Amino acid sequence: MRFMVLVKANKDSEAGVLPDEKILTAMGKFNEELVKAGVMLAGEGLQASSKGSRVQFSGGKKTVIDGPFAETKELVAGFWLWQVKSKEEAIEWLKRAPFEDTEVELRQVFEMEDFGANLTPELREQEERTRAQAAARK
Amino acid sequence: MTAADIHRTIDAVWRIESARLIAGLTRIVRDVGLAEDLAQDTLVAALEKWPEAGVPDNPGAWLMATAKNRAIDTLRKAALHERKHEEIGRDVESVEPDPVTALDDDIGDISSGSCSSPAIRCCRPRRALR
Repeated sequence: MRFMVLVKANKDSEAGVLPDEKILTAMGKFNEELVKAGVMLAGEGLQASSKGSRVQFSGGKKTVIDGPFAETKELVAGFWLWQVKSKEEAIEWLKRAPFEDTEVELRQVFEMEDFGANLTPELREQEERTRAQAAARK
Repeated sequence: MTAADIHRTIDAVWRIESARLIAGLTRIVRDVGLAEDLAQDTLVAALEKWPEAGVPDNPGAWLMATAKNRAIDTLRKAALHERKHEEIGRDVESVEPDPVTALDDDIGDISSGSCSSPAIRCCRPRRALR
């Protein structure tokens, strides 16, 4: 199963304070372990919300709102995509991450099987084709 | 945590830690087979303790510490056995330097009724029974 790991923002990340060498080193080691274990699928840091925007869809209207956004604790500052055998494994890996004062959320990724009958054979085939195309472009 | 959750967690911890655990133990006991056995014993210990005491904050460290203690115990017992074998070997030699002569002596002892050799002691009737 796959999990998205969402690292929540804090005052520093929103202020654009870059992580120091100590943290970068520790995080680099952690990422290496994730790769060696075959868990790491993707992972990136996100720039402060002051550089970001939101698009709100409502009743056919689309509204663009520029950052920064107020609810720091709910903002995402970084993410990973992990492949693990169970949610417990994702949690155990996350416990080994070199964070100090941070909240990190785990959310399971929907796989094609989860959609059941809604994902018709044609839709499934289209989905697989699209993913293959995306992978080929890398 | 339910029992099922705990078992999944132990499973996950094992998947993450077992290779490093076995490698660390191999360095101590210098025997991969023994290291694997000790690691398995440690897994059993975790399966027994954690459902009740809870999963430790640093499960990897708990496993390594527990496994190291077992390794040290195992090595101590092996050293103790070796010492005891040596002692017994020495005792046997000092009492019976020549097995054939010693046996003849013992047979003589039995016939004459005086039995002091430890090898023959069990043949002596107990005084209390007379």
